[in-house]
Amino acid sequence: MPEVYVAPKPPQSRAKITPPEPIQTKKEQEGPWWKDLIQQVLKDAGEKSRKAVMGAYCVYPEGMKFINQQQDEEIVLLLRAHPITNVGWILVTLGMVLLPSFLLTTGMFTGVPGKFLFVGQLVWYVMTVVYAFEKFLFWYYSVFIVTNERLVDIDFTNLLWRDITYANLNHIEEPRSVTGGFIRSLLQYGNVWITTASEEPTVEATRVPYPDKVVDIISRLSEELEKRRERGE
Amino acid sequence: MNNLNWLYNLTAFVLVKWFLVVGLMMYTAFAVVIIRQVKVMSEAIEDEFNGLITMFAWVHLAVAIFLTVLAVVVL
Repeated sequence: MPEVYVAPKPPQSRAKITPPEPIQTKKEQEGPWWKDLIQQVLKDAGEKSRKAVMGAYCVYPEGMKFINQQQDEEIVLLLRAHPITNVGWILVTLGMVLLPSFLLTTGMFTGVPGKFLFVGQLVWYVMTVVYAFEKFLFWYYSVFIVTNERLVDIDFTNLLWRDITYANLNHIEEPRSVTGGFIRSLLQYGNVWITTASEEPTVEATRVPYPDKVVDIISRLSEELEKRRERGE
Repeated sequence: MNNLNWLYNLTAFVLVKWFLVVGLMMYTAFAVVIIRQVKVMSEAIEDEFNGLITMFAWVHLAVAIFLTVLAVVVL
């Protein structure tokens, strides 16, 4: 049976319909808000992106990340203990390097076969290198980080023992720095203590370079975040 | 009596050798722990030197194994 009514086909436009591009505001084109905030705080504190004191004082370092870092979070300060605090184990390492030569000159190993002396010395030197390596690792990876949102204290106290403390910049109170003694005053390093409102009352960065600047930057960041919160941003 | 011949051949240096070998085997296990430690540490902070430090830990393990073999063969 022939169809009585055939519905006309809707006109098909050949032009491909593309979704409208999202309109970017001026702020979005400039970049995320926290970048401006960090730049402003560093400018006010008289700092700029740099690495100083043999990597113990890194301001706004590039290419560094830490565990559980959030997408809208950037490292403003990365601090390690001042390199001078490594002098103790470096001296011990030097002593360990020189010890076999010294003991050989005393003649106490005259009765020991050469092959035992050879292997013994090799083992000793490898253990010396590893002692230094271990000390270096603990120094290098025990860091105190200030981001645009939090304070992060990463400590390695033992083999495989990692202790990470986070403190939100909105919850900190009374940051203070402590410097004292001849060496600390001369090399400008000391401790930074930050009281928080959490159960873990204090976050500390011990023996870090320029503690006054660290406290200044933390205070400014905290203040700026507080202002943003008050503005409802 | 033949079964006890090895006891007559036992000298202080043979004892030292096997003590050293056992010690080096334990040290090799420690070298493995160091590799794990470096992994845990480098997970905490991503840095440009992480690769170098990890490589050093692996080289250290290789040296520890080499020393153990050396002690067995040479001593």
